Amino acid sequence: MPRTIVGKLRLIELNTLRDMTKFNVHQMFLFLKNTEYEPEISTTSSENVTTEFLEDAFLRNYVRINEEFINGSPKEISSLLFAFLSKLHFANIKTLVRLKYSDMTSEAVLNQIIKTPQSNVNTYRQVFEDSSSIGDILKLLINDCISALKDPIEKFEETGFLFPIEMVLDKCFYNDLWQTTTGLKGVDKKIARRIIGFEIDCVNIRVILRLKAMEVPSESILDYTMSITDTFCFDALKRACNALNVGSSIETLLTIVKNSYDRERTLMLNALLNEYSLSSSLSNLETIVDKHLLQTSVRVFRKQPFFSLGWVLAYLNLKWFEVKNLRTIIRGIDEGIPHNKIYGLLILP
Amino acid sequence: MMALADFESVQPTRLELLRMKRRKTIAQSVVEHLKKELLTLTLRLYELAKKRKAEQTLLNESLRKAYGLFVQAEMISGQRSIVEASLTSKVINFNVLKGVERDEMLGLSFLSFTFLKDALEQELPRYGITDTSASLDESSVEIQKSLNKIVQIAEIEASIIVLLNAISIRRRRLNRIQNRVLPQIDNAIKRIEFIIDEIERQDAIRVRVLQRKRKERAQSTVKE
Repeated sequence: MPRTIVGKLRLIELNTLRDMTKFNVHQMFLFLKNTEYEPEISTTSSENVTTEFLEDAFLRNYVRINEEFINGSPKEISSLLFAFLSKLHFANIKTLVRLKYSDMTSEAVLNQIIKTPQSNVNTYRQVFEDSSSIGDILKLLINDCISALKDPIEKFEETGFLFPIEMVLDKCFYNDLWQTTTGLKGVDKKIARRIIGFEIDCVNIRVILRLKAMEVPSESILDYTMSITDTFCFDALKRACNALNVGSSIETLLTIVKNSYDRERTLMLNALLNEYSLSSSLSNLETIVDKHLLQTSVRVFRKQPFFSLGWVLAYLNLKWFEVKNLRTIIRGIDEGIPHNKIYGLLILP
Repeated sequence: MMALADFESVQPTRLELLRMKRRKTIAQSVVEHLKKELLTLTLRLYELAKKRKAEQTLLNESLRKAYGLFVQAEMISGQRSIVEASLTSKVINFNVLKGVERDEMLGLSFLSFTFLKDALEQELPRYGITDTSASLDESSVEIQKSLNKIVQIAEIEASIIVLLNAISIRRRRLNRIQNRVLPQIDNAIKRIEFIIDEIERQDAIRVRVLQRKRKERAQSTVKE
């Protein structure tokens, strides 16, 4: 756990993030050289630095930090963290599927794949080269979920839509993660379920709102949601999916969480409803969801016992949002976006 | 209308003079009518030009907004996700339905374009939604609005071309009547009037000569 405290102290402060929005790419590179990102970014010089390289370096740093925690934790916690980091493994599988779909060469795999504890880049590349179809990639990398993927693969062959396959991959990841929490005990289990459950529900909310906005039929939306947590059970999600529009879906979910006296979700859905009545912008709604996800982690830091799993998960979430914020800043700087607009897009507690 | 060369060979009679004068009145009324038509067409042209400018401004705003949202999507979800989404996103088949609309008042046919998009898009999202930002959806919607605007602008420009053609034809017709037909009719009238006057004058002289001769003959008879 001291590793968590040290790690948290090494996170970039909010004021520094604000100042970074005024940097250029070169200044950003020099600044990051004196932070925890130094091992990942020192492989290039400031003259050759690109936004793609930095984005890659941020993700590699996130993986390294996770690996340090996995290696230094007890078995149950280590397996949960391993499952937590498989988010990037599943992202890599999706990337391979997309690259295969678009007939890219295996060289492209090297540019798009991030090394994870589950597999290294060469393994992913080998799988890509050995597979003649998307089904082969999925069989070789996640044989456990292959039965769940049977229908989406058939649908893909019929229509050419990759979306159902991607959604099942997400479901597999979150189901695995949720299952891993059952191996925990006491406070650790409670906190892990609180943080991971909240993340799963946030994903459900995002899926419902975006598909509602795209006017996808309600029955199809329900297929792509995950009834994993107790708060958003199958019936609750069905009611939200059957609502008329984005606004009424939020209202339905709000009624459900109010009945279950869930303060965190109630706060988030109230904020979503207010924002929807003001702007109806889905990207603003997503920002609110992300902010509440981050605030949950911050709350865990403040209220949970010092030596608990909650601290690790919350720290990893904070680290993930730091990576996302740095990515936002670097891309914004590269595009010449005004610093106050970049700052407005950052996910801050 | 009579060919221009024919005005030269018109018989210098009173009947032809009357015919020429009637022809001049008709030509003048055609000129008035063409002027009114030109005015209407020009007004319509100004309206369309103004509408085109407004639509162009809206298109520029829409494209700027779409690009801003696209960059925002890249900032939020990372370039990597957007590149992958672009590799796999299902292509929407856009089409433009061409039709013809008749404006009875102007007597012109204008092209009409209707922007059509593949209905398949409504069934499922074209790319993964868990690793891309909603800004990408908003950018995509804005781009589709822009495409619709481009089709509208194309329709306006096609109408402007039809109007410019119509204006040019009417202007040529007006110039031809004002600068060639009317002066030639005037000349023909003048020529006929001159010839008739000349004939009348000759007749009058002939009458006077005859009268004088008759008088002289009468006087010589009296003297004898």
